[in-house]
Amino acid sequence: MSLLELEDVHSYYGHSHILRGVSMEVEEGEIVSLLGRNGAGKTTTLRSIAGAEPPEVRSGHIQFNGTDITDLETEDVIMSGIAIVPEERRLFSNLTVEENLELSRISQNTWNTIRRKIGLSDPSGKSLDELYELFPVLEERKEQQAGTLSGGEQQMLSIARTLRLPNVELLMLDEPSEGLAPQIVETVMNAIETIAAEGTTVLLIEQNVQAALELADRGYVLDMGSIVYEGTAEELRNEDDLDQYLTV
Amino acid sequence: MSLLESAVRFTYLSLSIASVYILVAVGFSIAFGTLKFVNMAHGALYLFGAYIGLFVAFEYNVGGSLGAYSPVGLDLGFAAALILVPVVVFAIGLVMERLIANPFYERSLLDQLLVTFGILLILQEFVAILVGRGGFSYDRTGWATGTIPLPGIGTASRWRIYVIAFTIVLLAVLYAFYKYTDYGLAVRAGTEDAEMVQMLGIKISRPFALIFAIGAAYAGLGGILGGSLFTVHPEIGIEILIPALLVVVVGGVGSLTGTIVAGLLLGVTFTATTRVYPEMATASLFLLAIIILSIKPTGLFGKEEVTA
Repeated sequence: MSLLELEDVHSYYGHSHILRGVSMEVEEGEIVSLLGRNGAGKTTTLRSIAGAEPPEVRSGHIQFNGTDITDLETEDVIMSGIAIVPEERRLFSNLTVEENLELSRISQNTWNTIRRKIGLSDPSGKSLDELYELFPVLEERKEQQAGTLSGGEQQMLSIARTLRLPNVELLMLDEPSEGLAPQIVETVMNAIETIAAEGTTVLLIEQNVQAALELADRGYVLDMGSIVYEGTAEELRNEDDLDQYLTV
Repeated sequence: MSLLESAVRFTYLSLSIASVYILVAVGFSIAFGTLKFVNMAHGALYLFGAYIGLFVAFEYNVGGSLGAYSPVGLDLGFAAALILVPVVVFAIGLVMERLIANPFYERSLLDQLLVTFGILLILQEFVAILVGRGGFSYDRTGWATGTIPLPGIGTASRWRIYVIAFTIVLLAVLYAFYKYTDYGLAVRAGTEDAEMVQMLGIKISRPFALIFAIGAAYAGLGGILGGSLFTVHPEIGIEILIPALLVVVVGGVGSLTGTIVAGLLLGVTFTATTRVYPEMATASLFLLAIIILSIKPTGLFGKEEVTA
């Protein structure tokens, strides 16, 4: 059984039919990349999985860890073990770096102390110290408002805060390389690789095909709301036909 | 009266009025800035605070449909009212958030405005039907009356000094809630991006309901303090909305600092005009708001415009 499974998912923004039957799977421990042009439905797929509205999922099923999460509220999807690094990072720009990280601990308190007490799971997100070790620049900037960070630092913070969430099994990232200098992109991709190496499954949405396929085990190509191609990273790299779906 | 004494008198008069404005405006500003909900029924919380305080603390002969049962009231004393009112109005706030605010969060500003204003009118009439349209005033007991000596200057009204001190404590508590509690952190984050807070696994509706109810409790306290400084009658809920709304827009929607600064400005303005030209007291508040908003449309501490 796959960790994440989408089965014929149809999602709508109002009357617009955006996802037209998306089916895909992510196995435990994999790095899977979801590729496609702007407007292909990548972010809509992520939001559908996250239970964020809009869009509205009108048919199809989304399973995570064997449980149907199609109709769950966003916060319950997250608590089931999915973390999100959204498009444009969406940090809380008026809060300090440390406050941004502390927010992820709150869910741990309210829900997971109870879970831990009755022995359901061990919700061990990373501590602040562990995160600062991973991203030293964040420790230097911990008292600074998140809005004052550079693009690269913001992306680091956006990734770091997901690591503070309890028992994350799947990390979904939406265009983490967007708007970053090539050198910074490499740092971000390395961070994602480190997280994956620690056992977290990754679903990576990217327009930067080259960077994504360097990291990914497998990939899906989305066009006009449908999966038009799937294969290993190797196969995707060698498939010339894909250019029609990927070039902007 | 020496010049110094009248300067001191002017200061505590304006600060005590500013205190009431701020206590009422804070909740309105939170609901507007954080929950994007414009709540004219907030005035009813002030009204309830004043009336509940009145009938918890004392007994009165009333008009209206309860008139036959006069005197009405628990007669528990003023201190008991100060403790009970925030608790009761906090609970009313929780109910209001569930039943009135919650169904209208996603609606337009105009819908919210019309519906909540209608509710304010209904609640105001409800109070009038129960106890009549006549006015009441608080008979404050010993510890809350009289004057306190100011060495070398003269005396100051004891109760007005208490009102100011009480408000400072309440604002410090609110600040600490925002700054040092998990709920406060979630509310601050939710003010910026509520969906992202949910994407961190937090059920934002709970901190939001809590902060709404805290704002309600503060308005209720504003009601009992304002009621003790001015008079109490069914229209006070609407009347307090004028300065409270002006404080919110002048200070900048959603800004605690802005609410405090604007409350002080309006309190001083109101007291000063009342002194020299009482008929223009309320108008002077509008004038001040017009001047400040034409210079800075988002209010003194407003970050961005709130869109409908």
